[in-house]
Amino acid sequence: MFAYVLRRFAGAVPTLFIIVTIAFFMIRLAPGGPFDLERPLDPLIMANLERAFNFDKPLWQQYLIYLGNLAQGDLGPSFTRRDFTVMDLFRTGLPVSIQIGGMALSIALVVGVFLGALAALRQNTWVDYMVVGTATFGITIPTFVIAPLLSLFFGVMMGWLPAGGWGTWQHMVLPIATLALPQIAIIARLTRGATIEALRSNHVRTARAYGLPNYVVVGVHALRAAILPVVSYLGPTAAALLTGSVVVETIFGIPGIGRYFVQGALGRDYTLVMGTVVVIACFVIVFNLIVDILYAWLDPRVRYD
Amino acid sequence: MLQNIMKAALLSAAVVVTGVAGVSQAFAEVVYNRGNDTDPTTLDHHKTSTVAEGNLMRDLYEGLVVQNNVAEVVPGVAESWEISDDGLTYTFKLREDAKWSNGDQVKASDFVFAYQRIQNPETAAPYANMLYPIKNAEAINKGEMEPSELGAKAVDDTTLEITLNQPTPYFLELLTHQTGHPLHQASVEEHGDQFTRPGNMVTNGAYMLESFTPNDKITMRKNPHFHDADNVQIDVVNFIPFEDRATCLRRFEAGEVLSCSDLDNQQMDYMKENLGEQVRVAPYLGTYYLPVKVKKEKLADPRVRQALSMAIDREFLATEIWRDSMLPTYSFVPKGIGNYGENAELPYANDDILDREDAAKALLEEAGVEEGSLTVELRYNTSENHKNTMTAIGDMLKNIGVNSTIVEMEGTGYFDYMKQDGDFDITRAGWIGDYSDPQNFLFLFESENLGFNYPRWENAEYDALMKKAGETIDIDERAAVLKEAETLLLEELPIIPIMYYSSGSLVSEKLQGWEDNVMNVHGTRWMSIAQ
Amino acid sequence: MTDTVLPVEHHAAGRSLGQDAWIRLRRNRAAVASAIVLLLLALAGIVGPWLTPHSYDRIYPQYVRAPASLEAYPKEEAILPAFESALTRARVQIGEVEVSGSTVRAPVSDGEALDPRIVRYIDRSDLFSNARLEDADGNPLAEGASEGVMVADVQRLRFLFGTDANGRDLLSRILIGIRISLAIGVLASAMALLLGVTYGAIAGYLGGRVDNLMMRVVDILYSLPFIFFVILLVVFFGRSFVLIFIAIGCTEWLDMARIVRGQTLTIKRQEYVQAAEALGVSDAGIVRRHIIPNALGPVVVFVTLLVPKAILLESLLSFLGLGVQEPLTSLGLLIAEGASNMRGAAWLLIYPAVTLTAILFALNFLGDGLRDALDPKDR
Repeated sequence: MFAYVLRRFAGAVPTLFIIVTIAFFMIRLAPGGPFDLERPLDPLIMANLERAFNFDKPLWQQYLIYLGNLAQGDLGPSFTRRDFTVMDLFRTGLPVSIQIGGMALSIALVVGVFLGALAALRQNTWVDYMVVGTATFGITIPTFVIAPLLSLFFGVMMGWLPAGGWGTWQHMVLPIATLALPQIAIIARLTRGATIEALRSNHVRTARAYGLPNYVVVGVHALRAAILPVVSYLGPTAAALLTGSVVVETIFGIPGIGRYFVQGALGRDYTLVMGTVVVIACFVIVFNLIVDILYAWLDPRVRYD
Repeated sequence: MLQNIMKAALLSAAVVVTGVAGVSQAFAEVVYNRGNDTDPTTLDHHKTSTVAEGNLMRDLYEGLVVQNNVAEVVPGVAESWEISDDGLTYTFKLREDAKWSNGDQVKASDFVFAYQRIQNPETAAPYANMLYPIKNAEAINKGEMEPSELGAKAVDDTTLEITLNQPTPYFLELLTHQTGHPLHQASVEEHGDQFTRPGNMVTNGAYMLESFTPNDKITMRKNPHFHDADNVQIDVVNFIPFEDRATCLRRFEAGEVLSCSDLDNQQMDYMKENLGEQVRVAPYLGTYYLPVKVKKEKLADPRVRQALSMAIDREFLATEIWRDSMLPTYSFVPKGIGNYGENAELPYANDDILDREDAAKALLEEAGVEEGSLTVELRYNTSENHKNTMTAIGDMLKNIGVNSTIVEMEGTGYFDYMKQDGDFDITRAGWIGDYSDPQNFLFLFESENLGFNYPRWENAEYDALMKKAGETIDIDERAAVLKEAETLLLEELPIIPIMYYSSGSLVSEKLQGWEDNVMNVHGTRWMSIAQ
Repeated sequence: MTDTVLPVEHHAAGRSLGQDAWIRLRRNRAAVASAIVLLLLALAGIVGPWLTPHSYDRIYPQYVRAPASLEAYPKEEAILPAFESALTRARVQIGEVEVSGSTVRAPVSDGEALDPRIVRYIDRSDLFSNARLEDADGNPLAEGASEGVMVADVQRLRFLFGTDANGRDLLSRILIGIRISLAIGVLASAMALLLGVTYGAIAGYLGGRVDNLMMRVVDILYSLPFIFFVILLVVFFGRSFVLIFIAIGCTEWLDMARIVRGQTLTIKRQEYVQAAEALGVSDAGIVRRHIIPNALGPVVVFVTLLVPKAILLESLLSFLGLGVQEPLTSLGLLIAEGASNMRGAAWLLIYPAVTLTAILFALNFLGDGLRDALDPKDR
């Protein structure tokens, strides 16, 4: 198993390299640069700026400079937030995104699996219909509608929670709820489907035939099988949630890293975009690995050697 | 597991306790949560250019002269000044009690240092041209001269002498801009590009930097060494960036911020109904206009451009689309600007739209454009308001038999495209004045000004007028020349002026001292919070 | 479970897998209802825009942000002032304005002869149509007369769902939005289907190094964030309907490729494939005749989930300001606009949101129904 993990990490290096290369040239090919603002700069001043940031060098040279810095763990300075390096921005932003995303993920997992299993066990009863109906509803409402509604209701009208901002645990409630709601819905549906299937499977029937108590059958045998699709869904989802959400961070004013990606790409903040691409790619790679390991652990038929 | 839960409970109890303690301590402290448009590019004011950055700098630094809460130019670090008769030499007398936030005295050399630094090509200051009126500034910025040759000299610690290239009636006002602020030489030299970090940054304004969390807030604390500290009423200002104006509105309603720097036009009706006097809309020095690519054959005839302009119902755009957060205009230079008289105006400003449409059709016919044969592309950068504006304009052009297509572009690419002489017909652009002088608007369309002259309009007469205005000392005479230039601009119409910007803000009833003004400047030092 | 004891004669009739699934799908009431709803909405999206009285890009300057109402506009109390203000613009003297039923009349006079062209001031208004000048007896006014009566019909317009910030009928915009959103969903999914199935089947079938390499490419693309890709595409090529579904299709085919590859690996080991191989059928032939048809079940189910996903992705793009180009619109774009107007003009959010929810609900239930129907284990 250890050798397997090691091999996967070694394999991640060329993957990252290719991603960095694609992203670097794609963003640099986009028209405009970090200094093209609504109010244009004097050409002379523009030249001064470009010199200061090596933009006057040929692109391949800039690429090599970037790669060299990256190899040393230096993501470079940010062009649109010049008091910070890209690393500084992630150092302050990533913990925030991870806190919110992690909480949302955990809540979604617990609540989603519980609701899904409940619906499966009560298949075709009103409980089932309620869960499926609510879950479908949860998937269909875009976050950018839920977020302002929650903020409006709990923040402005009721005054129970802050309408936005960051600082105390109260500030985290609404963003976490916004992020968790659609995930609860998806996880509940996945769990329900898989549990129904698992309950019909041979090993659960066998367990029942052996006269094992119902909660053991459901809790241990059925759920273990049912959680598999959830786990494989969680890989990319966890990576996405932990690296922040543009919508939630913009609407609640949260200093995470979710916004940097869009801000960076639209503002042509090359280093910031590259940094975000690298961070997201790392998260995706790591979580895919975790999923594979969990899979092997949950499903004895899968073996990695 | 249980242990963990216990720990978490204890921890949260501790948080609550400290939270309460924080509140009781804060009781003595007046905190102002202030909405701002965005985070600054940097706190190094030499590298800033936006209005949002100006708001921060106004609190952190004090220039030779400053704008008070009604945007009048009043003494700042300089307690008095003399201007030579030829208008070329300014001698500022600095106040002795002007102090940096670390207690050092603010000296004339701090200004000289700052002014030399901003012109140094290595600084790559985007707004260095603001101070080009200072002698040799432009040459230094081009790398043709040494920074030490700049026309700003410290005669002694409290006397600063600035020499200009030519008389500049708006020079004092220029100095209120953030590019005119001093820098604490010792800390800049010690920390290099880290000098703006909290802890390193030394400022001479009413406030000093405490912390800066990107996308969250910038916290400033009252500077105890500030010469007028006794009259500064607010102890802590938190500048909170709001990319989404609706978010600011919600937090304003929830009482979490006391002011918003912009209004969400979409919710204008709601706000006026529910927030009353707290919604502030004030005239602003800015124009929303449509550059027309005059090089294109179909748009080369000024009569065609006039016809398009006539058909645009500016009143509808201002009141219905922008919900009165804009004012209709038929001039390019904003009304009420300094050093100017009555504006030049398009002749059909007061005509009814239907008569104008008839006139427009007649003009098109005269220019040989048959009804339905002209199709123009209307291009804009992503924003709901621009989208609605262009959609409405397209509909208005239909009334004079001109077809239109609409193209939306994403912001950065859009401005690059316009600047690079992109192949557009008609686009939108806006210009907010940096100082209250018509020159700051009319210089945009000088032939050589390739960065701003989106229509690529070349007119020797206009250039000559602008040059003449630059050399004229007498204010009234200069105003007349500039008006001639504006008249010419409106006759040729390479740009169609549509609306004047207004500055919109939400200002809580509790916040006192916020006065609406045409420059939209609101230094925190002039404000107080009623309990 | 009862299906396991199928009557023999049915087998003799040779009920295929497809027919079997069809029968079971028809028994699923939620799925049938969803299919009907979807069909109706699709129909509304396709023909609706031609049936509504207002075109989706027609601007009514006098009805900006008119609230949703069953009653026709203009409201009674709005007629009189509107007529007066329109006449004032014509710069003539106005007598008392009378409203009777659906006609408005007012005596007008001028120092000189009345210009017959002043009727256009009334006609231009969205509230009136068929303006004409008459004399006191109701006959057309003689030329050169300086007094007469301005008569106009009140133009009754219905905006069942209200109008938007430009004064366009929201119902018509929703209908065109349905068309665009469904088209994006279907086309993006079709694109993902085409790319993913081909790619996955080839990788799975060829196996070995090629498979390794091909899946590595998928892994790499997987780690490139979706938004990055779309923003760049929009920046390069501008915003167009085609681009958006291509962008979404291009990012969604990765999952599909993985699923199909997995299926292919399983199918490849089946006896009938090995038999075909032994008979010398070409690789392309085997992929086309055996692999793809047999992998179709899970693929179909996945597609029904992909369509709503594509629609939602498009709405995210709209929120970021990267959606389809005016005057076209999509449900996502309408919702994004509505969300920013929710305080003052709630109808702008509610109606598009309800429509989108209905579509996504139906797609989800249909997907579930299909999965149950196609699942061979479920027989």
